[in-house]
Amino acid sequence: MKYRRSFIRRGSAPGEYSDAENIRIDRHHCLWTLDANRRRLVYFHPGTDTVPGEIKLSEDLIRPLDFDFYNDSTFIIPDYSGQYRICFVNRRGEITRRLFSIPTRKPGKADIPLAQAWRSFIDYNPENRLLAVATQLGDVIELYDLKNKKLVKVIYGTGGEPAYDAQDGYAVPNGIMGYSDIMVGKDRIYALFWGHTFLDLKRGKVKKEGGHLLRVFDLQGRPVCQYTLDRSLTGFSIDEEKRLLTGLDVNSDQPLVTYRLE
Amino acid sequence: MKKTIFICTLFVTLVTALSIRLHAEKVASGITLENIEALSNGEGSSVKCMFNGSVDCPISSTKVLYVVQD
Repeated sequence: MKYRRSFIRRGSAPGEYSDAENIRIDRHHCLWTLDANRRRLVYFHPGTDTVPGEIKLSEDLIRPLDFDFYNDSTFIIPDYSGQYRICFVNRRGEITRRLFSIPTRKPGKADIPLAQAWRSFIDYNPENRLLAVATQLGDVIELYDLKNKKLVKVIYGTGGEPAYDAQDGYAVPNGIMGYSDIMVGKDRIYALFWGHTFLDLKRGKVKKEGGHLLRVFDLQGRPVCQYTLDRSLTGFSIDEEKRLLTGLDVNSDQPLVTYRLE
Repeated sequence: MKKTIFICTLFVTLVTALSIRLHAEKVASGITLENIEALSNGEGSSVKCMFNGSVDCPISSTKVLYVVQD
């Protein structure tokens, strides 16, 4: 692994970006990122970084916080209205379809505070047509079969579903920090779990950002194993053939780390 | 003649200075209004976002350590 170059400069001038929520590479080797604050998807062709293309996303998405490719013409973006779970968005940035609903077991309105509390990270594997959704503020993973447009399973962990107080139309989280990244592999699902409470954060008991638990499930959502890492990571990618995890440790001056998954 | 040129130059200078000042006040007024709006968004709500982190602040576009209510 070696450094090649930097791009996506932070700033407010043309050609600069305020945010990069996620980074993905499509099957044509284009690199994509989501500038959530400016509600746009930006892509770079291989070998260039000076003339990116961009897709301005519809205001109906309210606040797009993650994305993945459904196919060459459609993106999947988590819903932020609280009415649905995901949105399909075309290359013009328009919502073409909304599916599913937030699987809360608590009574209440399906509104924006609910969507804020259930803010999630997603990953879709077009090979097995499985979409995984992991909550940032709770211990919940959802699996959806997008071929048949049905919910496969909701995995409620011991940390429970996102806990929050609705205040002035906003969600104030008061439970735990849950997942920060998820990946649907060939026959396994990998999710990075943090697990500390907001109370511990406020008391200064949490010294590092990130999680050190990598949970592994099969495609039916059954737990397979759990790795305890010696670093706190905020994101990861796994090469299943090489059984190699590459992670991001923002607490370190050398933030890229690799683990061999035995 | 020299007196006329001097008066004309003085007039042009004064008009230019006044115009620049009015423009500056207009810009400053815009910035102040934006600031007031930004502050009122936070002040009107009892929700506050604290420190830098990974949680999406619901009242702004920043990522914070945690969200609290007064």
